[in-house]
Amino acid sequence: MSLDDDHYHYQDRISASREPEDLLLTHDEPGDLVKRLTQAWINERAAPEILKYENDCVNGLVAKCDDQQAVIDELDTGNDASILISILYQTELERIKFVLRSYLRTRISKIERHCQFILKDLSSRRKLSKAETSYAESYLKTTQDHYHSSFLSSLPLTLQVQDDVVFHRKLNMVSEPSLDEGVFCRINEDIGYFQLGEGDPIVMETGQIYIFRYGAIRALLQRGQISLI
Amino acid sequence: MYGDEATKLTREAKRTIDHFPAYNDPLVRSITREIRHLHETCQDLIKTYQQDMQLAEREVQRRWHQQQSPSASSASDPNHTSLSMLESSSHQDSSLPPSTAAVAGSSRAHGGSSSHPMASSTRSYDSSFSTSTASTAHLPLEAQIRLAVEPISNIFLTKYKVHFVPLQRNKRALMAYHRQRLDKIKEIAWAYAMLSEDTRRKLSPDEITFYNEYERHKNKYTAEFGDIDLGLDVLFPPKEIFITVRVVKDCGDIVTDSGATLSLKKNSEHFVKRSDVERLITQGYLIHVA
Repeated sequence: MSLDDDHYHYQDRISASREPEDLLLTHDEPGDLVKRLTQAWINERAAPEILKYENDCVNGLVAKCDDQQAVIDELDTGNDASILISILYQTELERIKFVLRSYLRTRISKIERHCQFILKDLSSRRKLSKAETSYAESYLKTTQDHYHSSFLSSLPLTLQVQDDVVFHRKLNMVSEPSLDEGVFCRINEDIGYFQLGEGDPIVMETGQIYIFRYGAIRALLQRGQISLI
Repeated sequence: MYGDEATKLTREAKRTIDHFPAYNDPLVRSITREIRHLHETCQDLIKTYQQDMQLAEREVQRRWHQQQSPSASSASDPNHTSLSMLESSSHQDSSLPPSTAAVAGSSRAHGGSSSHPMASSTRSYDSSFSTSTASTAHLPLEAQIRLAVEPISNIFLTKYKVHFVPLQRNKRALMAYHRQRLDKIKEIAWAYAMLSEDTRRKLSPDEITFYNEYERHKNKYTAEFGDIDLGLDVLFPPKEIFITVRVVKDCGDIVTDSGATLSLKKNSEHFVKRSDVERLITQGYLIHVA
């Protein structure tokens, strides 16, 4: 966690020292965008299923990164103080880019893993960005074509399907995210009594940390009442 | 044994999880051949089973009608024998080509002569069947049919399963093997964005097609994000922008974004801007020392 604390620290200091008009380009403060993206990235990495794409956040930050690069390029390199500032800016930029690419790559790897399921399941499909949807579609086609031309084409017709279920062991060829996976989470706001499957309801208060079955708290995560850690 | 080839393939996949061997075309081919054979056997089994069921049913019906009009019964009772013949065909060794088994089974069942040599080999079943018919003679026709058909179904199910389970397993093994290779190819596509001659030789033609397609989709996607290089390491966040790297594989002179030229000779160390050489670290030319 020290990494993120570190990160915010930089962010606060640097945002404070930035020109005011720089901050007015989007409605959100860049610092908030980074915070939101970092949380989205952590959630995405911890959750077994794909989550909603943070469109504004990503687009906002991609634009911000370009702006910031321009600011860095303009800095006077003759001056010791501006060299230090330039290094801080660049470090910040590299770290934000890291979170961005890790976030996007995590999503891509989930999309590839559960491609067939996500494309078929409407509620999952809606969580993808436009680029991701078209990526998923072409990826699915390419892999299926590959399996087909590599060996399925030489099998009897009835065996060429790529979504059958081995009935006696409940093995499904279409891999689905397991909602039974355990996740750690932190409660963001007082929720009060919450019914977890069967058994007694539990009281959820701000700041508490629990480990839950992902399926049980999925709705809370979607509403942003909890964050994964 | 059925499934041995598939076991070999899964073992190979497991053994080579860290490196990338050449595509095992002969093994894949022999497994698909085995699947085709198993599939044919299954189809034949179903055909034989349906024929056997019909014959058995007709048999019991005929016996039933004979019992209803006792004058028609004969001493030799050819019906009885033909039913036992039928069973004997189901008991046959499954290593025989399935088509011949089916043909032999049906032809023999039709020509039900009581002096058939195969009759002796199935005596145990034969006798149990006679006793059961004797004790169930008073039952209604449907119950008698059910009793006569049950052993045929059981035998069919066992035989079918023995062939169908390895068939499914073979397909799973093939899927798993190809999938593992695709995962490796995808890794290469993200880190290198090109195929080295060495890797190219290890791929099957289909895999090369896959690689090219994948590369195309990937580039289309990453183009959305401008200069953010999505192919770089996504596990460890950068802590500083200047790092010391050691060269482990010669990569000649490179020109950095800022216009400087770096000559990266093996075993030399350089203090450089991380973003200039990050690709080379991901690709294994450099290692990050401090």
